Amino acid sequence: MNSKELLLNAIQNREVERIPWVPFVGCHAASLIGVSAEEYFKNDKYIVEGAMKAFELYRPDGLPVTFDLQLEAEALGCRLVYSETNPPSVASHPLAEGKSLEDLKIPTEEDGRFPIILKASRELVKRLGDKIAVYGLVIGPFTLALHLKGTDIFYQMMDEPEEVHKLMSFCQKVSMNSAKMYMDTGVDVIAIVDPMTSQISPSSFEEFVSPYITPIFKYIREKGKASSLFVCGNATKNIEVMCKCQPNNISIDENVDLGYAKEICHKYGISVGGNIRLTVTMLFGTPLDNIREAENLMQIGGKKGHILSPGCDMPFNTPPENVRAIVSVVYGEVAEFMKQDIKSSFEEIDVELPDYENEKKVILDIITLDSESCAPCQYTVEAVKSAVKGLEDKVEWKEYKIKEKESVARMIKLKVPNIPTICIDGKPVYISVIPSVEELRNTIEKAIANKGL
Amino acid sequence: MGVKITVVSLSDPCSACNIIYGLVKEIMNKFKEKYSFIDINYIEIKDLKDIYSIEGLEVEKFPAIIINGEQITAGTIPDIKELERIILKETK
Repeated sequence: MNSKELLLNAIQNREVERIPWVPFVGCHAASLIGVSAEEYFKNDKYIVEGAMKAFELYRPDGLPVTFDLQLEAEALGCRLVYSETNPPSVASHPLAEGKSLEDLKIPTEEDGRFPIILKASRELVKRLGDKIAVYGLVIGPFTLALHLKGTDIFYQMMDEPEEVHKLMSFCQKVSMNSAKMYMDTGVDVIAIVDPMTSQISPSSFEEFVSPYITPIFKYIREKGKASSLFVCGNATKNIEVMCKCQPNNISIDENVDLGYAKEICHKYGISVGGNIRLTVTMLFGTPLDNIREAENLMQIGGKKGHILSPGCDMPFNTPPENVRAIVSVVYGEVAEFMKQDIKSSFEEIDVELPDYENEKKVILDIITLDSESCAPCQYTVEAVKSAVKGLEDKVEWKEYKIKEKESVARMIKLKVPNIPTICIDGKPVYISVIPSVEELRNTIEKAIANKGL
Repeated sequence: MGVKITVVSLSDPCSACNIIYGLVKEIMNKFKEKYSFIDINYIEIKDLKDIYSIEGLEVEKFPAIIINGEQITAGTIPDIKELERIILKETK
């Protein structure tokens, strides 16, 4: 199964051999190729070059063409303010400034920056389409309505709901047409990105969003493509109503508990994506923070119907080392990554391993990130503690936290590829797998017998 | 009595936070036109350590609105009528 197949299976809520990973690279791609966000969003060659660089560095299973929630709004007459390091912002709302719905027309391939984005999409499908899943990101109808109308829409929802319905009906047509244009370029997944729905209640969602977004997912399904509904912000209360709109996948940010979202989504046969913290972890954290978070989320998400991804589009200045740290967890290459990370001082560290064969005890080396902060590491250490009860005179165990360079050196010397790992007498036995206490106890007892203890 | 409003955002926001930040700025501009006694200060955080120096910031979700040292919102679009009520209350 290649990366693309892996992702397309996971998005359909099937069990897969490895959790797929989709870094949401938008304006961050500009930083990877040394141009400003404005230059990137206005040039198809930069969009392609940035995505190709992300593909090379981050080894994704899926990638968005770009991440621009202002594309449709700009083509509909919203004025944008571009930035050096951020996505553009909407600075005017035509429907709050004298224009009427009748003045607006659904953007086509010729309008705004659509020619640029669609050209980039065609090129990326050509270059990457057989390897990974290419995502076309389309603005959701509610966020587009907010762009067109401004915050007045919240009052109109109470005072003039029929006007909001008219606007949502128009925005639905725009989103559907954008999805069609993207699908015509050959993308595999259409993500309807509607972050502003986190600002409304489930009942408002059902009244003003569900009737308009559900047919979009039906349309995508009929076209034989996969779909996702992206939401940002605290959408916890809306996860169930989002599921009822029948996307293949719901992608959430750090404000929603992944375990909760998974439980609700799986009940509806929907996969879940997310939700690495953008700021605390990816932007400001260290590579170890990113390893810890990826480990924890992969533990919660599991291999059925979970796609590991950031909570939203990655900030421009996200350090590539942090993203590569996540990649190392995804591919089980943490040791290799850590070795590179501490290359300069690594050669000075000499770790002496015990003479395992001749030791008078069975020796368990537990390689973790830190059992106090990494959930899978904690469960592994707890399993060891329970499994060795009553065997203390024959078994010795110790946790080695790779936050310490000596532990990384030990990890490499023991040929441990990933964390958490349980080594028994110098051999990695449980690699990134948490055994049951019973299974581990049996394995330890066999090791004791082999040593004649 | 003057009302001091601080709007805190990240210098590198995600797309969703960027949209909310834009809307918050628009709301603040309207208030500024309506009420001359308002003093609005925008802080864009470049380093997480900076948040400890922001008076009144308790919930670290952005954009955040702080009025006279009390945090009103965290990562959400404010209710304009409620915001106006708080501003006017602060003048008394």
